[in-house]
Amino acid sequence: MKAFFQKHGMSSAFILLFVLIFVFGGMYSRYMTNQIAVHAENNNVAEITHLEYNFDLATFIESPYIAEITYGDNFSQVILYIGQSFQINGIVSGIEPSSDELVAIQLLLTQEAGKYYNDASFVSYTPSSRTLVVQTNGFHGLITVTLDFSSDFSGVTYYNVVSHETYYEEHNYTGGAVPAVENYYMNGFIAGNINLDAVAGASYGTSPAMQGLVELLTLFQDAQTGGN
Amino acid sequence: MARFANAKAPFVRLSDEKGKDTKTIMRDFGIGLMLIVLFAWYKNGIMVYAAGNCSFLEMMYPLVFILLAGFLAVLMEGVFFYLTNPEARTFKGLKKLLETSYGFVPGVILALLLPLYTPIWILMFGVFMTTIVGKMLFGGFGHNIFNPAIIGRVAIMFTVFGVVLAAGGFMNPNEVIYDAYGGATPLTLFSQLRTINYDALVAPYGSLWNFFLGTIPGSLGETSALVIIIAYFWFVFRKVIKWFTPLIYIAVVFLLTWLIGIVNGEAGLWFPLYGILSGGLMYGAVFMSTEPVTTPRNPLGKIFFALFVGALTVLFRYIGVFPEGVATAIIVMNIFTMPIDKSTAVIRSTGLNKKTLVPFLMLVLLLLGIMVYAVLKSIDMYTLSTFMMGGWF
Repeated sequence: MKAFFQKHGMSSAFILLFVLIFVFGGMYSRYMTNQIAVHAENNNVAEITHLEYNFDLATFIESPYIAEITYGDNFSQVILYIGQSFQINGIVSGIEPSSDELVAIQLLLTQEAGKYYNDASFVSYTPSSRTLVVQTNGFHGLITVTLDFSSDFSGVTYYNVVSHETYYEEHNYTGGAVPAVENYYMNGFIAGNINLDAVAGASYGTSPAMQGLVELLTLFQDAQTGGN
Repeated sequence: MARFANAKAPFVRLSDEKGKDTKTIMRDFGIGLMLIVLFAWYKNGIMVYAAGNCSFLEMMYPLVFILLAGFLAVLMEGVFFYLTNPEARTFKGLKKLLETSYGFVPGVILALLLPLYTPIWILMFGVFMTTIVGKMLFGGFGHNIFNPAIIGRVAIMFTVFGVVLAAGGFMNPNEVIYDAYGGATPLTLFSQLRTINYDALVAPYGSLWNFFLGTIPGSLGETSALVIIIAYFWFVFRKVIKWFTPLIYIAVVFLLTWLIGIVNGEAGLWFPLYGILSGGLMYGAVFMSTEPVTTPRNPLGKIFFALFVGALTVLFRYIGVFPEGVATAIIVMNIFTMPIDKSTAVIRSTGLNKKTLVPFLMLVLLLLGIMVYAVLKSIDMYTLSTFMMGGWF
């Protein structure tokens, strides 16, 4: 044994060192990686419990969403007004978060915004005439529609597609005069037909954009009339 | 001057300062490097621990990781000497060889180029590539053609970088908790978005001031421009490096990035500042483009080397597979160190004449060609990106 170590002592030391570094270093880096999940769990300071449209006529233009948030170690709850860009606009009810917790909640909302984002949005509302301006992202740009609701919101007395797509000239759409696709969806909405098929021949960006708009308008109308 | 071209480096002007030798240079270099090591530990360990976001063991990991890389490099050099040099069969003989080989330095430089969550076995592989392949197989200290640490970094990037990212990647626990940037470093974000927009590129990390201080995600040693600049002044003060090499390198990247911003409709100074403060540019400029062994020896050669590395860094950021172009640019230029050194040494000693004008003009034209190509590629990229986004969304 002694002769072996005299002859191979240095090479044995090298091998031993490499094995030790490999084993204990591997354990150390594995521990580090495992800790990432632990941190993520411990620092999950906020969670979006529920998010829905805000159809309160006094606040919905500024804050089209309302979010129920569970946050903090004690699982406190707060309901917040949320803007179109998912910024926190104010508190509806619940336990007010601290400034640090608000930062964490805002980060969460920013990260999660993509899951809830709808291309269709409200632009303005005039209470005296019940005129609502809505818009959505079409294939080329914004499609803007103005609507006047009846006094009990059960019907639409007037609508106008203010800006629209130009697919007719560009895509050889033959379904009717511009803005035929927008009119098709708006007429469907007024008639109560909300599950309209995509329009063949129209650009593939316009149909989903208008479908989203009709969906938003239907929800708005239902909320005002006490429907579903 | 021409007689020094292609000879073994580093050179010490003993006539200038008595008692100054390679050991002095490496000691001074080590002091500058230690500043970066301490910052890497502070940012990824101490600061996180102070915020209550990690355990003591996690706090120690960055320091252990960096020092272990240095130790592994010495150990691997020891094995190499032991296997190849009969003098190294005794502890005394091995110690003597290791003392003049400075194996610790490239190991530490490599560790500072790697993400925090690099597994130790990958570090061992990187150090092997750095020390054995990048340095010892070329003949050891002063004989290597490529920057050894970059060989290790590139080897990891091209083979097992996915494992590094899967193990945790760049984000320390503080950055994971307040992650507003989707787990990406600034240059990764830039390569994904391909947009020149302050809100998209800088705002997720706060401001450019954070880039300067180094409180942004990135490899262990490359994030803090402030600490790297302090190290730069130390090196210049101690005459470890030539003052102009990093400045020219950074200036080329700044101007070229600014030009790319202008031709793509963004003339703001924030974009070139973003370009020089993100990624490993500052670290590469101060610690690697100045390396005495693998870069030209004469001042004119150093100027050309820095100009080319700057242009290639920008080019690789736009056409490369990886978001960063510093390591690839330096390693590519390491290949041309010898011809640049030789031709510029002749130009410097004989001046511009009939014989030297042609190689000089060729170097200038090649440099301009790379710069123009980088700008053109950026236009292609943004045009394509705009087209694709317009068509799909």
